[in-house]
Amino acid sequence: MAEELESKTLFTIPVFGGIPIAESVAVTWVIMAVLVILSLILVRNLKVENPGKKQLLLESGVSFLQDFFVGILGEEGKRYVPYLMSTVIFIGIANIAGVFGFTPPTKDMNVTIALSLMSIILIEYAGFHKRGLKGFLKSFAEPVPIMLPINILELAIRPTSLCMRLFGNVLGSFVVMKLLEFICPAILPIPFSLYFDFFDGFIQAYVFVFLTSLFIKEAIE
Amino acid sequence: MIKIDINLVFTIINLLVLYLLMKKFLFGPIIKVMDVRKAMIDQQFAGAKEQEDQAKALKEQYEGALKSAREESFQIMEQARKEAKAQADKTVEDTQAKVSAMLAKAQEDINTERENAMRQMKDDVASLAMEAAGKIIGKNSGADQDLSLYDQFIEKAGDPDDSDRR
Repeated sequence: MAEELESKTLFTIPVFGGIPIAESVAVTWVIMAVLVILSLILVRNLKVENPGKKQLLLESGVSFLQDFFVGILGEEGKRYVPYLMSTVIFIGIANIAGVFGFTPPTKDMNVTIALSLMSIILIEYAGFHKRGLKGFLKSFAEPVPIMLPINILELAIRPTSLCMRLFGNVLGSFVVMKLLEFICPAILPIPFSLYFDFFDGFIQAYVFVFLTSLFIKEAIE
Repeated sequence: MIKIDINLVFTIINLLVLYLLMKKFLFGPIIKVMDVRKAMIDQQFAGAKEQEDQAKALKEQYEGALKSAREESFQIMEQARKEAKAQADKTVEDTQAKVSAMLAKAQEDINTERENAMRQMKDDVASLAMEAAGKIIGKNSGADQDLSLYDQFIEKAGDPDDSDRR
């Protein structure tokens, strides 16, 4: 049981004294491959006039995400929308990867740290891009200079909270699901899987990108 | 359980690659199609609006033209009516004047004719009477007598019209 919780090293590339490739990275590759193949299939034959049902579904999905992020970020944050969209799709699929028999990549803290590092870099870059170097540095002393240490601490706190929230939720649901499967492998896990994998998985993906976009909005305001 | 290693870097690379791939293969084409459609719809709306405006302007123009044409035709008709009436009035007046002139002339002619006839008749009657009286008396007893006789005759047989002539 305990070894299930470990992030396994799937294989080792025998160069530079062996580079370990974790299972999470391999699963991420699979997810990436699936996403790219799916989008290649779905995006074929896009029509401006008389779109088919498939295209309508795709467009409504993409415009739903786009409207959601543009609604938070506003017009000037539009350039960060594609990253947020691809992130929410990746986290959403990674969180439900357990349903398809994979280990969710987000159960590995390397992945959640990577995600939250990307988020904090994006947040700070957005502020830097918007205000320039001087304004960016000045923004740490806002609204009053006494907030300076807290604002600097936030640089570390925000990604940590993002990372730990996602990691904890996925790990928790993973453990619960493993236990349930251990007790009764048939039928019983279905409703729990619906909650822990789908509901919680999507909620966590939503929360992650929602907070990231809120922070970006705050940075570019 | 918590092991941070080189896979962190791999994941970051994965995420960046996934972002670029998604942007290129999924969001890029779809958003492009949606934008193209939006532009097309906007263009169509603008075209429709323009056409509507044009149609409205044309309609106003036509209505104005129609109104002025109606006024003009009304004016023309009114003038024609006036002219016709004036002409008719003039004709009637002329005719009346002509008729009354003719009547007056006829009356005058008749009067002249009658006077002439009367005078003729008077002369005739006078000579006739004198002749008859001469025949009856057998002799002429002077002009005075003749005249008195004649007057007597006229008084008995003359026209009331002629009474003022004496």
